[in-house]
Amino acid sequence: MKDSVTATDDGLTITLADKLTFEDHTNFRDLLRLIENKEHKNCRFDLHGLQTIDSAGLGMLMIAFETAEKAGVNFQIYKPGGQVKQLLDISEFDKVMTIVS
Amino acid sequence: MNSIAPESTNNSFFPATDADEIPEVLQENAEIESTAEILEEVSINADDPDLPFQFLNRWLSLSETQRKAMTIIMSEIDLVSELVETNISDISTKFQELAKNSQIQTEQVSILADSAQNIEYQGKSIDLSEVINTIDEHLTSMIGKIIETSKHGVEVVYALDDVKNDVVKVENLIDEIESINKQTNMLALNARIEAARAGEAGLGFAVVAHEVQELARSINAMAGTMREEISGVAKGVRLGHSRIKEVANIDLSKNILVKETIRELMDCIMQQNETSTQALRSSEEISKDITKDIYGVITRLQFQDRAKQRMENINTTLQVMGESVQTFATETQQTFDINLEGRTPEDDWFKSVIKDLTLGEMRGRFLKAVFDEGDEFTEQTENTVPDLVEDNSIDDDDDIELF
Repeated sequence: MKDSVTATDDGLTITLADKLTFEDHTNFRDLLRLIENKEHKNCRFDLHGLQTIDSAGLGMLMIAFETAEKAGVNFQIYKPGGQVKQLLDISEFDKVMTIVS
Repeated sequence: MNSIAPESTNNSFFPATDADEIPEVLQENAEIESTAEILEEVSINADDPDLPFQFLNRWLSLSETQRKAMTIIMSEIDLVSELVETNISDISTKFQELAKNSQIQTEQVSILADSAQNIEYQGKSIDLSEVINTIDEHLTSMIGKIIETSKHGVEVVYALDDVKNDVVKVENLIDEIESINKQTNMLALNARIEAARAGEAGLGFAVVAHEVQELARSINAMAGTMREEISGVAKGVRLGHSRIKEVANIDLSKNILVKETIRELMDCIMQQNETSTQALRSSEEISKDITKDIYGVITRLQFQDRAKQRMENINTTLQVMGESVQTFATETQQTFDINLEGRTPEDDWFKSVIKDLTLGEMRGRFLKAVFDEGDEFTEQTENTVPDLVEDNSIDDDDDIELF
């Protein structure tokens, strides 16, 4: 997983690229801590560059959403594509969280 | 007379006058005198006093032949009526069976079309679209559990990461305890040395130093036990961490994608089922139309009753005509006191009429009725052109006798 974090007045934007699998769980936890800090009211996960995701990756996105919800941070997944979008659609993530296509 | 007399030779009502000449039976070119020839003969023999009697004799002969022909025609009409009635009755029965089977077929196709949209499951009829929705719901539920399990797997890994770190911290604390205890033990040892130097005055202090040393030894033993315990805990945590990582690392994304494949397959099944149902409904409508048409045909076949009545009326008329001719012939014979003797030239006329009949058996019956020719002739003409016809010029279409 390649990640980059951008913090603006609008909120926190976490951009993920390449792939998100279980192997990335340690790095992902660092990103979760950024959300837990409550320094930003909004958090956007930009997935437009993410090529593939596995079931653990889907679980981590769900943890990120619940973490944001617990911290009172607005959560949003932004422009997923390809296999990632397909899995999010089938798993009906849009019924739980905001997904911007 | 010239104006109404036909010039045709085959169907002339004015046959040859030469009574001694016997024409070839049914020969196509059988010579029948033309009207002109007859008139010429009448003209030449105008002074002959027997001529009117000869003509009268011929008229009587012709009326006799025609009466016989009428009789056989009436017989043929009865035969045709009976033939039509029998066959129409058979055809009507067959059509009734056909209509009945067509109705059964319609009902079966209808049942098939109805059942195509449903499946029987545990004694209940379930709509196919409902089945697909149920499968979809189960798959969605399964995928939700996969996501939930994956999430919990990562959460457990995170929790065990924390436990691992806490164990390391505890181990570090034990190290610190052991270090402090080591210093305490050293201090107690030094205190005991100093107490020994102080002699009698240091006895009490020596006891205290001894107790402190024992206490340090106990703490050391306890720290050792704690290290062993925490080492066991750390081992268990590391093993659990390793195992949960293996579980969490199992990629179930392909299992999630199966839902889409199943959905597409279900859509194909639904589409195919829809096509089959439409085809069955169409077949049902066609079967209904066929049944309706068959009943229409059965209704139309009732024409036979009307045809039979008409033929009976024709026969009645012919019978009256025949009786009239017979009465007139009898009265004529009685009035002029003449006899019908010798050759009857009207045979030629009759044969020229029947030679165009295409059915051999019918032709045979006509010949038998008029000439009283035996069954041999009828049998010969059953399926072939009569042998009497030398040049085979009469078209015998027996091969069209479909009945």
